[in-house]
Amino acid sequence: MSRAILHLDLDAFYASVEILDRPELRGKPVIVAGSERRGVVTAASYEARKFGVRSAMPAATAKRLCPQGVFLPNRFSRYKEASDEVFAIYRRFTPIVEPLSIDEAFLDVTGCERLFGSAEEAARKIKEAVRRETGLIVSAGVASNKFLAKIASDLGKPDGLVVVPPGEEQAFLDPLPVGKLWGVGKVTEGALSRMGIRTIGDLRRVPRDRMVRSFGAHGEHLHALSRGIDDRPVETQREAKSIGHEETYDRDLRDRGTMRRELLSLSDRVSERLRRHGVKGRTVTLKVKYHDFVLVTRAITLAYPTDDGGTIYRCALDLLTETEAGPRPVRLLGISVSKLTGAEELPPEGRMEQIALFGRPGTDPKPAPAAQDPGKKERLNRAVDRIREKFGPRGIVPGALPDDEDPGT
Amino acid sequence: MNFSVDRDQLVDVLTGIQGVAERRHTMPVLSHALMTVSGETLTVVSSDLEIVIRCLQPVTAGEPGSIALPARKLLDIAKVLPKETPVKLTVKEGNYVEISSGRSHFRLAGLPAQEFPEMPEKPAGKPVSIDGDLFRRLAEAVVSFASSDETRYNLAGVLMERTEPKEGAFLRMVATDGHRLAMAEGEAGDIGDLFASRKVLVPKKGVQEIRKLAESGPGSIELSASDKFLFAAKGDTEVWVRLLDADFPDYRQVIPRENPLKATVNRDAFAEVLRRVGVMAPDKVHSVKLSFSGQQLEISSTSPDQGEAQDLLEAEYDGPAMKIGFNGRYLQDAVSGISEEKVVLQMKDEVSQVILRPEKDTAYLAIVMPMRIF
Repeated sequence: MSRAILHLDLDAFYASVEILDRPELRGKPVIVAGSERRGVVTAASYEARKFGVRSAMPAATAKRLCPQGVFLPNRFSRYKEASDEVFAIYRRFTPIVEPLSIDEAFLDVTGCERLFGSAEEAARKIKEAVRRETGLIVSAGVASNKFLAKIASDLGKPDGLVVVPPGEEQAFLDPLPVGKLWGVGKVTEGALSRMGIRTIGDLRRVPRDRMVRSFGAHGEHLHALSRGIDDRPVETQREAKSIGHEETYDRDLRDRGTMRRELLSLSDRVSERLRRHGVKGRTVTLKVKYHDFVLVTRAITLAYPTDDGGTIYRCALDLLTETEAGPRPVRLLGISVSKLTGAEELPPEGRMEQIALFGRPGTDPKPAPAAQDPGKKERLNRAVDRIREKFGPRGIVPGALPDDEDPGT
Repeated sequence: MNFSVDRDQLVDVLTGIQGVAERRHTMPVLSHALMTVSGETLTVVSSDLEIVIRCLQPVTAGEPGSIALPARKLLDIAKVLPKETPVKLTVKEGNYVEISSGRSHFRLAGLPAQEFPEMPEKPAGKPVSIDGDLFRRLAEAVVSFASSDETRYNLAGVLMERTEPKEGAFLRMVATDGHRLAMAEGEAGDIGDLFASRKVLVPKKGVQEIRKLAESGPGSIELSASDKFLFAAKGDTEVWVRLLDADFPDYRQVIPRENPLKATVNRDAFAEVLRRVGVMAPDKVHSVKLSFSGQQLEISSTSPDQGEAQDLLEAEYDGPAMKIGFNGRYLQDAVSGISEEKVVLQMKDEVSQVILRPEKDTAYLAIVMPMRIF
């Protein structure tokens, strides 16, 4: 049976929320960015976009393009609040909602005709409800799968409603540039262009074998997409693939000592989030963005999954030595933990965890009490979590991070 | 350059260096073997910058010279050539080599010899001679205990040192991955101060290469060391291994002096039960439970959503009933280092180091940390 999938995307979301809260900004170029001097643009109103301002662009560039723009800092908790309101509306129409991000979601409305009419009508009703109840504008794409629905919503922006009727998928896709396909970035686009492939229609006419020869498994995937084939279901509970945290600093970090402190703080936050989600991970990834925006990542995989901040911190320290951080000034540090396994993967009764022979390798021949007994470490971490529940995130912090001083401000 | 060589000898020499020829293409020349002819000798070298192997092979030489050839492809070719037929290699212009044997002809692209990394120097000083079988035995007993975890560089090798608790000099090898440790030693005759004046921490792969050299036939291997390399030679083959520049932890501190609870089990029965129960142990952690009670040891495993396994074996044990969790693989590795009929487990409690050793011989012991049972 043909499915009815909606992709719903809030227009210029952060900027729209700001305008909602301060109506006097309506009609002005509003730019939301981490910090005017060093941050990155997280949203731009359509008025600002006319000047060429785009998301993910350095705020300094945006300032140059649009000096009269109203620059506002991020207020994530407010955006989350607005997003929750909108998602609650979505869920009145169908329980099958897959959030992609704070402002994007897939909905599966297959078989809802008796309730809301056609998929197109359902999309229209959702748009109206969101506008009426929250004042926000959402663009919708309606199609028989996720991939097409997402392309469709993008084409109609702002305030769009684009429907790809069943049976017309090919006609819809063919004239579009290949860059619209998921997984086609600048590099692939360039390679395709050298093969004379510019539109999705061009790509569709290339024999599958040739795509596989040129691009491997990725080529096969692109070939399927060019035919509008995408069988992935709308997943209501997307499992997180990784949990991480990163920080962009207002001033470049140059000194390893400061970086170590920042890593400790990041590790602490990541471990807390791991524990809150009840998961542990085996791969620790360090992300370093140098002052010139060059981004490197370094990762290591542990023998056992962990949710312990100290373990994550030691990995991050090791990884830091594999970067040029220090000699090259650093503007962003991030830590993430992936290869997640649920803490409940093993039954609580009879769960087993390896005890270490030494403390920190090579430094301390006596086993550190916590390293010696993972049970103790677990109890310690749980106690820390409880203290933070009661007294807030700074109710207890690692000894090396006693004050509130942020090296980047 | 050109020379003729016996096909089987060519296969042998290329097989010997294969383990070191780099498959990944970080530096293309490292996937190549450097072939040099001078006089009546062919020298074949392969290197991954950490380990260098050099083999000499008598040939019927035509013209001296050298070239780097893709090690894997050259071996593939040598293997399919007719047996017991001489193979002739001739270097042609543009770093090509022609390989012919009987009516078969191959043309293989190589790289200029100059691209191959320079050879490390042989350590100065008189090499010492160590029984090849001793080296192999010690290495085999401990090498699987070294860490494969890339974050633990200082545990990624085998520590070699000289001990002299008894008369004669003993060679001791120790390896640990931070969860378990193995130590094996044996009388090594006159090893001078080879392992006394410096710390010799040999990476896992290097130990394997020297072990292969040691077991390539009877007789002893010659060892010498500089601050950077351990050098081993036997017959026509030489191996350089770059030492790990890291601090091995003070392993003596984690060897318990007194572990009062002693259980003695039959080695083969223990190994078999571990293997059997291990089938149902969870994939990544291989956790198994050992329950000691009276003269019985029950070993069991549980895989969530899959099922369970248990088995029993006899044990000489007179301590209190006790249940300890382990990574079953660690126990299997420890047992495989023991050749005596009986294995002794010495324990203190459920969370402290457990010693596994042969009943009589004191030259081997393994320490395994338990897994905490929640």
